[in-house]
Amino acid sequence: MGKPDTLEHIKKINEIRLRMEEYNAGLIEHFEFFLNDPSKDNIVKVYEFMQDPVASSSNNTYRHIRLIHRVAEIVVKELSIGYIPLTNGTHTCKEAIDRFRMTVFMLRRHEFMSEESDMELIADAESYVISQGISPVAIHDIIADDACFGDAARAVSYWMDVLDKAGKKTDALLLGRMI
Amino acid sequence: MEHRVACCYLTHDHPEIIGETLKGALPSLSANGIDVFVYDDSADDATKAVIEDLIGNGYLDLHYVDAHKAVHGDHKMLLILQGYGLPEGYDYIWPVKDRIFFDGACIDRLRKAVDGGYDVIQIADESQRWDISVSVDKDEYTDIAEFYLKYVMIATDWEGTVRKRLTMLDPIDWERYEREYGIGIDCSFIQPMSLFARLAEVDSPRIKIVNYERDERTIVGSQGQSWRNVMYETWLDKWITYNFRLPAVYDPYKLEAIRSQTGLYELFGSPGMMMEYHDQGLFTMAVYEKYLRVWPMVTDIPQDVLCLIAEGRKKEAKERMLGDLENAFKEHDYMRVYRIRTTNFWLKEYMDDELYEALGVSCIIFRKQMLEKGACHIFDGASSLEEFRKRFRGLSDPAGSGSSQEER
Repeated sequence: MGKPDTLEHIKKINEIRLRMEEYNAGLIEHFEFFLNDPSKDNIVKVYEFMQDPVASSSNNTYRHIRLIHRVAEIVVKELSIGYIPLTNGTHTCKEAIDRFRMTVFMLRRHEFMSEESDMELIADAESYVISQGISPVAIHDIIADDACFGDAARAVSYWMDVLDKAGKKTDALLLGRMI
Repeated sequence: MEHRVACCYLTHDHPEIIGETLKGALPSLSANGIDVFVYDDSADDATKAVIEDLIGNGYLDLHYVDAHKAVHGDHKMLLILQGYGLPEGYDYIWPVKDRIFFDGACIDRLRKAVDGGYDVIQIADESQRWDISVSVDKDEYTDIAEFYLKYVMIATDWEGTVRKRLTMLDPIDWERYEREYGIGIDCSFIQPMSLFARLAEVDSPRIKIVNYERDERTIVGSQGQSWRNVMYETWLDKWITYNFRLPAVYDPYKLEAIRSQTGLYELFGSPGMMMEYHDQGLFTMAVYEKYLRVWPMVTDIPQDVLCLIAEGRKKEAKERMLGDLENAFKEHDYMRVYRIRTTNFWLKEYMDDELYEALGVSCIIFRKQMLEKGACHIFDGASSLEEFRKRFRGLSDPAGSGSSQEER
């Protein structure tokens, strides 16, 4: 028979694991409900669910949960000031996560590509951000926290220009103020 | 075997190495009906003599291919992928660098995969995988983006990527690939770029992973480190640019895939290794500043730590990493704990053996479970190094036999 404190610890770990799994299933359910009915009320429900004490452990343990948390954080901010959310048009967690990953990549694409033949790819990235209606809130948050820019201010400035040239002057101004 | 495989060795001025490699490789390959072609562009005839000697000793499945028309290593690989020097009738092409061979059950598993008619067969050792942010719980893929995310790093090695000619090689318009992906230029990552570019053009490709055990792969001699002179140009300029150019289907995963390679211990994933580079004059403030905006994208090492290393302030960099390790425990960010422990072997200078080993053992378990299940609970709840130490003592001595250090 093991030491009582060791057995107690193993029991505790098992309980945490089960609670995390329960939390993960609940989060996915709430988030997919929001994706299919993207109202402010529904993202608030997701956000409230994310206040569960086990959320942080789950965030640190499961990569897909970390990504859902991250997307939800951005969406909450977008909806709070009336922007169409990053996840618009997605219906599953995988689709939403892929949209997020794609946006992160598109925001970086202009770096490292300088040859003539790359210009089309850069134009595609700019067109993606404009045509998908990626909000200045998402652009700012992703540049600041996800896209791993060495020089975030420079990147923000680049995207301000892109928004401005696309006629989205208010979005460009808002992005500039968020630096 | 239903399909015929050509195992194509690339060699240049390594007669002893290719000789030893072939002696190790040929028994298993011959037994499984895999023919071997050695593509040689050496300065003298020593390699040719080694091959002729082996053929004379009865290895009739071995063939010498004069590859002197190749202008550099990538061009030689290009020739192989285009079928240069191969007689008719080979269904799969498997290029391998000259110091690697697989044997035993691994070749049996490869043969079975070939019989399965897959478009791509990737030989891989998951237990050695450095990037554990993905789980590798299956051995067949039809989602090419998922395969790219998990295996582009492994496909950079000229070791275990086997391609079906009919679907993966023969239809390639190589001139277009050169224009669009830079294929054929020296150090252009010809293997992974042509693989993933082509996969995006094939209808419903089938990909098989063939795992090998550690003792089923041999490296003959020691690999040189000449690449270190060009490591920044190769990995921070070309690797990123070439991945960015791959077809759009991979876009969501490109940043993670790029990092899975650049974050390797021997590239830019380890503060200890960066300190070595600094000592060798390879990682200086000039280099740090030149790639200032790239570092956060290619490595998990905090920017301020990289700066301290580039300045030669090793002690401060180490203390900063130790602080980061404590913080990772405090924040229950055990992936960070894993990364710090496995990339900083100098930690043992700052820890007693018991703690260093306990962390090491736990990280091995952590890696295994993360790769297999996508989660691991071995560190759960520990909020500091000391708490982890006490926990580990309890777990390694569940029966309470009194063998903990305090009791001893």
